Amino acid sequence: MAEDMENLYQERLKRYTTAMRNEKPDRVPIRIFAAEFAAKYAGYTSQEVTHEYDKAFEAVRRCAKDFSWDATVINMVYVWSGLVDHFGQKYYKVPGIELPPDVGFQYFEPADEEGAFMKEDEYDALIDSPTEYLANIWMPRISRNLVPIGTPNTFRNNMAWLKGGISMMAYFGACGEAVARLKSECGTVSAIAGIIKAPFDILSDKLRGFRQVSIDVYRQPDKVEKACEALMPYLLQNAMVTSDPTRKVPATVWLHRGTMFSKDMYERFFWPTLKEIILQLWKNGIQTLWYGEGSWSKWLKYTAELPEKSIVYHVDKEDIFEAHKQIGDKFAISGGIPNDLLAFGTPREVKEYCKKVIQTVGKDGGYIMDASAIIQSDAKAENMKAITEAVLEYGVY
Amino acid sequence: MAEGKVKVKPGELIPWEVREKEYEKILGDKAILKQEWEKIEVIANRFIWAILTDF
Repeated sequence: MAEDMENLYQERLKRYTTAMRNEKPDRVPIRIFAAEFAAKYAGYTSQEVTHEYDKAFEAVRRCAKDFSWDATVINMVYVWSGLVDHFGQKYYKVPGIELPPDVGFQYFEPADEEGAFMKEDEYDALIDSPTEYLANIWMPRISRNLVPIGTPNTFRNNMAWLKGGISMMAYFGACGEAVARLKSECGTVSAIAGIIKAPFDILSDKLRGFRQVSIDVYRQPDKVEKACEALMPYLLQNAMVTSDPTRKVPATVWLHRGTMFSKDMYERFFWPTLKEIILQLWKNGIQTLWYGEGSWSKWLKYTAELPEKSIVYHVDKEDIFEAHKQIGDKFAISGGIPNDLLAFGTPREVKEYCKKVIQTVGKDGGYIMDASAIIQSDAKAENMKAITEAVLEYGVY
Repeated sequence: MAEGKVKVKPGELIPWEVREKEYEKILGDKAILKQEWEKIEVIANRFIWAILTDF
């Protein structure tokens, strides 16, 4: 790597990690999570970046260079539909297949008990041995290629296991190369490493489904609670093995459903096992990026129980200024630039909003510039440029 | 449930304890076998959980 690029990378890494530790770097770091926006900017369709991951990596590199991002994710179109095609997941609608080529991929959740990938009477099997439950029961249900245990085997079943595994190895191998190229060609930091899911989220996303779990919390609450407890150590291990071995960048918890339940339910089903995962990671030196989708302001008092600096609190829909007032002394904050402003606002409006966030939330450091949510194709390039301009103009300490 | 009735722990699929009992004999270094067995266990286990959490 060229010396100047190495220096740029080190400068950005220091800026980014300093801010994430809630300290004051030389300036506010720009860390952008761009999905279909990157494709559009680079001249690719959603189908191209969803199905050809090299194009997705290239699109992000182009954005990182042109917008001077300090940190980003190599590919935020996180579902590689090639793997989906080989393994056969039923829950995605893919651009260029079921969706027009310029529409982002969609997750379709079963809406009733009949379609649920985990049935209401299967809690004990999940609790008893989560990995075996997934491999033996859940996977044959979510894949159009696999056959359930106890039924005649098929060539298609065997090939789906083989091709699914090989596809994942190929993709993760390519991700490693993409991280290296992001560093050597753009001097940009790969922003996150390690995936965390809250046990209750995964139960209500991919296992039971939201409608079904909403019934379960009333009809069989003990089973729901035990399932979350059973999943916890497995999701922790999954986060640990995918995290940054150097402990510099955070693992990310993508939070979905916790805001849709009552206080009592949050306290019983959602928070205890999520908290334990974050605590265990922190004990192992791994910071968590708290990526709460929607507004998590009503649960701030629970989040504030976490050790100082153990998380970076990302703001989506809630009031970033209020969040900063309440927990800004404990945790760094990221995001909070509304995506609708990036889609429908003017560069001047974007710049003004960024200025306000930098001068209040980022006043003493501990702020990482980003949009509220992952950036889709509706964001305007001139507004993305305005974010960078605002940081360079107002974000230098 | 797991072969040999050993609970499948986080990061495992077919635990080493189960595989170990299947060898008729081990003339060389058992630690080498264990190390390589567990190395692939972690990767294969990740496949299962990655389908749930990532894909």
